[in-house]
Amino acid sequence: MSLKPEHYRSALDARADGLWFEVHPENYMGDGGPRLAWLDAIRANHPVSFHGVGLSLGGPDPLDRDHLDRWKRLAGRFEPARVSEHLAWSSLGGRYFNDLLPTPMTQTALDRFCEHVDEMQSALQRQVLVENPSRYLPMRDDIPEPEFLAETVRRTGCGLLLDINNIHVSAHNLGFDARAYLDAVPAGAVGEIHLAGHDSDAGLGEALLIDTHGRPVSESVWSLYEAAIRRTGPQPTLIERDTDIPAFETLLQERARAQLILDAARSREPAHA
Amino acid sequence: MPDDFHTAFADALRTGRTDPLQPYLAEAGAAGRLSVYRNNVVRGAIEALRAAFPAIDRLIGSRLFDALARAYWHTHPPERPTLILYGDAFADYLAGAEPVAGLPWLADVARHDRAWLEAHHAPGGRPLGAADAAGLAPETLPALVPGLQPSVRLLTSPWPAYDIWHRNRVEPDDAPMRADPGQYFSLLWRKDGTVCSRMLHAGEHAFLDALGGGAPLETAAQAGLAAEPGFDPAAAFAAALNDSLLKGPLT
Repeated sequence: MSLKPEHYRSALDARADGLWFEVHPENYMGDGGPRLAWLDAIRANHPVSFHGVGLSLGGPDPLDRDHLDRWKRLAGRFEPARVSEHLAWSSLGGRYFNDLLPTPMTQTALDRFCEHVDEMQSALQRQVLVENPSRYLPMRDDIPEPEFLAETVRRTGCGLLLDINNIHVSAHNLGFDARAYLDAVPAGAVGEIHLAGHDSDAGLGEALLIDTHGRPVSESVWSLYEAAIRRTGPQPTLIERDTDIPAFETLLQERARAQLILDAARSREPAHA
Repeated sequence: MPDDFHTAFADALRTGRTDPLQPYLAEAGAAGRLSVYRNNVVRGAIEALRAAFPAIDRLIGSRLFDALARAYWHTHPPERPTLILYGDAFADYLAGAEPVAGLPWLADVARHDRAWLEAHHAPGGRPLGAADAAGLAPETLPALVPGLQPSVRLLTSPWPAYDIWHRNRVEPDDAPMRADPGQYFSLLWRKDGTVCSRMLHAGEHAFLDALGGGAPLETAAQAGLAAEPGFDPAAAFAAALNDSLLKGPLT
């Protein structure tokens, strides 16, 4: 589950089998204080993964070396089970836009993205998982997104963090087939899966779905998740919730539903080579 | 090197002008969807500021806070890829913001919110404790240079900003507010993971300020006495030990 400050105590005390937590390292880049102390304590009881939102791997600028250094220090201290970042950009010319902005699917962007993924993996001395974005703007893509990701995997040896809600939201917003997208990504490279809820846009309504992480996982996303697990085999799965955060127990229930799907997959033959 | 697409996109986030983005989009009219990103970016910055300046939000109300935070985002965009310490110039910004010009104490209240945030995220480290001090030969104390813990923040205001801040953040109440000009001193610091705060007299403020500047105890005591004739250096030293304000352990 996503680790939220309001759940620190519950997370520390939780004993569910196989439970792990994910944090945005950016939220722990202070010099000290109780937030880091909580993460130390929780890390002593549960695996923790790092999911970055600020490196701007999909942007045109060189990576922020100071930010990468802070990443290294935190990863050294907490030894996360997995580390991930996004196919997106968030910084330009020293200005930080705190959102995951769309990387154009072009050859130039692919080359730069691969260099950045390489740089992050070299700095952290480990494999990074790259997450597929939520998309809202229909852009003139030269390369289909699954192909862009597959080529990144091939060139850099990175893994994929498959966000099922993002696939659903993007497919809806841009009008592509979510199942075909699933079939096109390299299933063997998937090392983590995200599940989250979405909302309709306040202005455009159902025409535009927004990846808010503010609601329970939708039925269509659960169904897509089952299809994904059939392709990838059971993978560590995160219930993401960042706004309208419910009680810890409510999130545990969603997590239990994902666990059932994973357990069922484990009892079958592995679906992937 | 930024290309035209990213520059156009960043400009659109700042200004809402989407025409330069049109060549990169697959559908006419799709640029309206850019507002999703624009809302995320601006709203994220506003909410980060609101979380960092809760006393200001309570004092001026969320609508005015939104407007000021949005204007601040335009003139002081985040430069680091994390928002946990965003807003270092927000108090200065408020000091010059026309809509709150009638609240001359507001910027100093904001400085207290900021001090809270900095104390919260400051490095830790074992403080100098009473037992450490008891182990020292008394004749060595005057030359002792303890320094202050990194979380310690000392504030001065010509307004009772600490009192206003405290009553809008630490123990909120709706009693009528007085803002009599004068000279007010306050202290925020972190102890055992919790940010603490209290008012100071002029002497204790001068004493701690001198220690923070690297002065030995004797010099700091003199600074305290110069600021306030009735200042009691022994009591101030004991309070600093008790509150874990000083650096330790001794070497």
